[in-house]
Order: sequence, then C-alpha cells, then structure tokens
Amino acid sequence: MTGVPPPSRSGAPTAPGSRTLRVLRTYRNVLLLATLVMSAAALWTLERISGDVEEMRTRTAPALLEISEARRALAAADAAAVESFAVGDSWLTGFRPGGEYQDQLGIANQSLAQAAEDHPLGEEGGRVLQMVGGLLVSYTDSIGRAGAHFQREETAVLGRLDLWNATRLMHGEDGILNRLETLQDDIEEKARSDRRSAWTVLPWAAPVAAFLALAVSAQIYLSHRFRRRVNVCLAAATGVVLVIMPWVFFQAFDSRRELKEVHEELERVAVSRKDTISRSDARGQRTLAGLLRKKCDGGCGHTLDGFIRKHDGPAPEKPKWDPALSTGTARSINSDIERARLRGLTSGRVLAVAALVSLLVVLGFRPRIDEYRFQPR
Amino acid sequence: MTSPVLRLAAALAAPLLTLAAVTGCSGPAVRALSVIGPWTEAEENAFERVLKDFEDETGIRVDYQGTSAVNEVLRSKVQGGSPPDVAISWSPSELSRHARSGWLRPLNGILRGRGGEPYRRHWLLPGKGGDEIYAIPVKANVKSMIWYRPDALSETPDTWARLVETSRGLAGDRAPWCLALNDNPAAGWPGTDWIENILLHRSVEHYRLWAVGRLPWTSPEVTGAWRTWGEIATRSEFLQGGKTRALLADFRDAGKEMSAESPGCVMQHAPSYTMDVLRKGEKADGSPLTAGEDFDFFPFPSVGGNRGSAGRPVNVSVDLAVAFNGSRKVERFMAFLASRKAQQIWPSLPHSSAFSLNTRVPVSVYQEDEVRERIAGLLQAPENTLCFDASDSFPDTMRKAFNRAVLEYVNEPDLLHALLEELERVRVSIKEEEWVATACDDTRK
Repeated sequence: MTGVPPPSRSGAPTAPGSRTLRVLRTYRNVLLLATLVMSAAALWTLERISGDVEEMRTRTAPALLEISEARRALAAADAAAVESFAVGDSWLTGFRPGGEYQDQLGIANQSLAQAAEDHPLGEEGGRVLQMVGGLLVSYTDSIGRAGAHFQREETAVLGRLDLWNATRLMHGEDGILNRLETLQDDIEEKARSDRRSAWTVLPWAAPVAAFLALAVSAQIYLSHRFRRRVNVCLAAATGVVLVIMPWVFFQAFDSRRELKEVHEELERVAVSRKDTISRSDARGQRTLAGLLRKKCDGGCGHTLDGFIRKHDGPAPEKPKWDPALSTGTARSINSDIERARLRGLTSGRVLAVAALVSLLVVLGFRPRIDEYRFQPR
Repeated sequence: MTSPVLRLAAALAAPLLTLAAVTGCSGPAVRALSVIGPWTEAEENAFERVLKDFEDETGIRVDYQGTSAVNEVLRSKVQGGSPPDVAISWSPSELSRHARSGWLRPLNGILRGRGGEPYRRHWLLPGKGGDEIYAIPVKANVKSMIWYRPDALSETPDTWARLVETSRGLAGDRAPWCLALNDNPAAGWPGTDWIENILLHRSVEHYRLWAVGRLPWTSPEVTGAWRTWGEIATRSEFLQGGKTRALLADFRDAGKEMSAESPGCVMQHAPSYTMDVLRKGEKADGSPLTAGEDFDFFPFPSVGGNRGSAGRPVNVSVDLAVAFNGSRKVERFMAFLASRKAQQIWPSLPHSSAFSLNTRVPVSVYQEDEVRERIAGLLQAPENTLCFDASDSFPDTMRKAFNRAVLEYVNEPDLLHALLEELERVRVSIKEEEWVATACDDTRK
C-alpha cells in the first residue's frame, strides 16, 4: 500500500474519496452484521433441532414405549391371574394367581416407574401416573385377596367378588388401562403438535442468501472501484459460507426427516401393541365371565349380568409376546433417534466458522479502507 | 461518530426491549379458583349451576374438577405441595387430617355476623380444641331410611322386631330385601350403613363413642348390632337371589330391582339419593314411577325398644367444603356456599335428590315433593339427633377393614367373633388424633 491517492473515475483525488470510504465501511459492517444474523439463525435452528431430538430421546420416545409396554403387561397380567383361578390349579402347586401374573406385573411396575422418571407431560403426566400407581395397589390387593379366598370353597364367592372388582379397576372407564391409554394419547398428541416439517429449516437459508448476495455485490463494487480482479479474503469468506452452510443445512434437514421417521415408528409400535392388548383383554374378560357365570345362574344384578352377556363365548388364543421383540423395537427406535442427532455440528463450531468469516471480511476490506482513512476529507 | 452497526443494533434492540418489558412486567393472568370435589356427570352438572350463580354474582371464575377418587387425588396434591383452593369430600376424617397438618384455613369469619350459625356445629368440622371451624356442608344424604314398594307393603314397621316379622311374612311370596353389597372400590359399605343405623337406633351414646374410636368393636353393643343385622343379612330366604347375589351384585342394581316392572324384592335400606334410581323405573304402561305412590320410604326403625330420649337419630353422609387458601376470593366463595341462597340452588333443581343442612333453607325448595319434604323434615326437626355416617368419619384403615368385615360376615356368619377381634385390633392400632373430634350433635354444649 502506498500514500498515493486512490484513483477516481475522473482520475483526481477529490471529495468522492470520503463517499467511497463510507461505502466500504458500510459494506464491511453490513457483511459483518449478516454474518452475525446468519450465525444467530444457525445457532437458533440447531438449538431447536437438538432440543427436539433430546426431548424425543429422553422423554417422549421412552415414555411412549414404557407406557404402552406397561399397558400390554398389565392386560397380560390380568388375563393370567383370571386364567389361573379359572383353570383351578391347586394352591398346593404354588402361590396363585401364578408366575406369569407376577412376571407381567413386575414388567408393568418397572415400565411405570421408568415412565414416571421420563416426566411425560410434566406435572399432569406425573399426577396420572401417581393415580395409576394408587389404583394398581388396590388392584394387586384385590388379586391377593382373591388368591386367599379361592383357597377355600366356603370363600370362593368372595374370591370371585375380588376378581370382578379387580378387573373393573383394571378395565373400567376410569380404570388403570384407560387412564394409561389416555396419557399415551396425550403424549402422542403433544409430540404430533410439536413435530415440525423438515422444511422448517428453510427460513434459515434467508440470511445465508443475504450474505452471499452482499458478498458478490461487494466483490463487484471492489473490482469496479479498484480495478482488482478479485478480493481474495472476501472470496475466501464467501467460499467458507458456500461450503459450510449447505452442509449445516442438509444436516438439519436430515435430522428433521429422521425425527419424523421416529414418530412414525412409534405410531406403528402403538398400533401393534394395541392389538396385543385387545386380545389379552378379550381373553381375560371372557375367562372371568365364565368364572362368574357359575355363581350367577339366577342373576347377579344388571351390571354383572350385563358383563357376563357381553363377554359370552370362548376365550380367544393367548397373544404371543416376545420380550426380545420389545427390546429390539426400543433399540431400533433409539438408533433412529441417534441418527437424528446433529453429528459434529456444535455451537462452538458454528461460532468458530462465524469468527473465521468475520475475520476474512475485516481483512478483505482493511487495505481498501486504510487507503482512504488518512485522506483529507 | 456512531457506527452504522451500533445504529442498527440500537434499532433492533429497541423493539426487543419493549417486547421483553411488556411480557416480563405485565401482571399474571387472572387465575380461576381451583375446586375439586366428588361429583361427576349429573351431579357435576348440578354443582356447576351453583358455581355459575357464584361466578355471575362475583365475576370470580371457578375451575371445578370432579373425581370419584377425591380423597386420593387431594392427598396426592397436598403431598405434592399444590393443594386446590377448595376441596369437597364426604370424609370428615380425611379433611380433619388436613386440618391437623395445618393445611386448612379456619372459617370462623365466614359465618360470624350472620345472626347465629345456620348449621349445627358438628357439621362445621370443629377442631379438637373446639374454637375453630374448618368446613361448610354443601350437600347431605340421609341414610336412616328404608325404601319400599307400597303395593307390596301395607304397613310400615317402626321397630326392628316388626321389621323382621314383616320380612318373614313377605318371604314366602317375594324376596323382602334388595341387598347388594358391592360398590367397587369400597365393596361392603352398604352393609356398614346397616350396622351403623342399628347401633345408632339402639343407643346414640354408644354410637357417638364408637364413631370417634372410643368403643371397642368387641363391646356387647357393637357385637349386638352385627348379630341384629345378621337376622336379615345372613338369611338367604330374605334376600333376592340369596347371599351370593347380595355379595356379587352392584349396590346401584338393588334399586333397579325394586323399581322394575316386576320387582324382585320389596325393601331396600339405602341413602336418600337412591330416589334417583327409583324414579327411573317404569310402570307397566311405560310411565315413570312416582315418589310417594310407586315407591316410598320409612325411617329406620328403633332397635331394642329404644326410641331415644328426644326425637329420632339420623345418620347423614355430608359433602363438606374446606379451604386450603385464605385469599379474599376463597373467603367469598366459602361464604357463598354457606349462604341460604347457594344452599337452595341444588335442592331446588327438578328431580334433585340433594338436601341442605342449612336450617334456614325453607321446605318450599323441595317443590312440594312430599317424599323429599319428609326427608328434609328429618334433617330440620330440632329434636332429632343428627350424626355423621360413622364409616365416613373413620380413618381410612378402619373404614376399609369395616367394609371387608361386612362381606366376610355375610358370607360366613360364624366368623363374627374373629372378625370383631380383628376390627378391634385395627382400632387399637390407630392413633387417637386420627379419629374425628365429634360425630353427632353434642347435647352437652
């Protein structure tokens, strides 16, 4: 750089120099501002994406899986309990209502405890799970009493009463299964309303486009004004933005798409488990109806008679349940969520890129501005 | 010189700061009063009418949540440190527990200056010291009554001996009793009402002690009450469908059996709200049953030749409102609930089975329904001794054990001695402060 006055179109160092200085400074400042806005928009979008993925990973997906697994296990436990009383296993062979009831109840309790830790729907979800926990205590009390009552023929009618009341706690309108289903529906509804399309990352492209347009415009201005072919630093800044930002954009787009697939997978699991639950319900309730019918030949009131009539007929086949399948489903969903995470894209790296672009912009304009800085105005 | 960047930043910051100031500094939205209670469906709709009048009068919004598990929900909210502003429960013992823990706000100021209390004092849930009161009764159900079919019963018995005699007379033709003891999750409670009434109508003084945990279950009075009930409840020939049906059938179905076109039974010992079920019955021509003609009630008969010194004892289940918040809004709400105006709303609704314990509510609110007026008369007569339903007043553990014992007794009456020993063991295990202070009018005051 020299102290030679910069050339003007007229070739004379005149007052327009101050105008050029203003234009140069404005270009530099607006490009810096565009870098700032672009980086802020990138950080904000990444933050939202990371938040959504974390919400899905730590709360929504585990809660939905745990609650639907608890429902399946509870329906299976109830059917197993009723069945063990109906087939008349001897109490000498072990504690009724049997091992499968205990196993499934254990799974359900574990799932509910895990779901409570996931805090789905915040306080409201916690309240529902607490209420379900209370009902489950009453339910297991009733089944326990039924076990004691079925051991003597004299008290078998009370055993049937206990089973009938237990099944209503489980299957009633305000019962355990319905409350859990409503909670699951509410979580799914919230997840659905939170779900953002992959294209919601598009608005972020606007500040990138603005930066590129400004950079090109500055480059043209500089080449006309100073008769240089290209400003290397500014070209490097433009190059960094052109290479890095599409990469970031596509990562964000891909994450959104993966998250959508997780939602769809969760919905498929819910439908499949609903079918298993329905079949367990039908099996348990028909078996119970048969058990109650034996004592209610002359009628036992509208409610009980209605239940017996509604569930008349042979019990359907026991639905198949493979614990490995549940574990496999959870694993598959977890790996889908892992894919939705933004790999290598951290706030620190975005800020580093922003700093690099800003530095290049400053360096790109500095020589030209310096040329004018000490000129008489 | 101000740089363009600073100027731009200032231009951006101004609206953002304004927005932050607006959202951050504006006051919170006006919060509705939170009320939880035991009423759902039709009862909830009726209570909403009461709430609407309050909202119209004061402009204060009320958010009501009805649940059949009101005690459990309330307990969980209190444990979580976020109780509602107001709670309504049928269980004086549950509410007393919250009063003891210091959660409830005394309501003495609500009724002061109204020219004397329009409620008998024990309904207001006085603390053990007796100076402070914690509850306003919102709705009452009378339990000392027996519903019957007038077409099958020409004369109503006024003593227990005559009741058994009447049952015996009917047994050959039609089952005298509609007995259904199941009501999930409190199976057995319809039987507890029998035992309570028998003891109450034999000796108010013993009932008073028993309800507050001061009379052993193995005492001759309590044992006698169970045995007396056994004269009806353990005899299959007196019960429609025998003991098995009595144990398995739902309580609400008993009323349906009595109001059926061909009733399977003649009498039912059930609370005043059973009128709702009975009214839904149909005559042969399809028209609805009429209270006083197609079904009626007689007061629970005296037991053991005791008619009481003054008036008639009446067992009442009461829905009580308590305040967890001492704000001005809550005070206005509680004052409104206690007022004659509010107390008249629910009972005056068409086909209502609600009754008020406010002594200033005129009988005219019962809309010239002679049966309802007679029920209200039991509550209004100053000479009658009104008591809380004892099992409502019992601590939770005692109530549950009582319910279970009733079922075991009907199934195997020979177990009575063992059952009473077990109930007594439960009573002794409960701390004294867990029992309510008083269950009946305290005539000593």
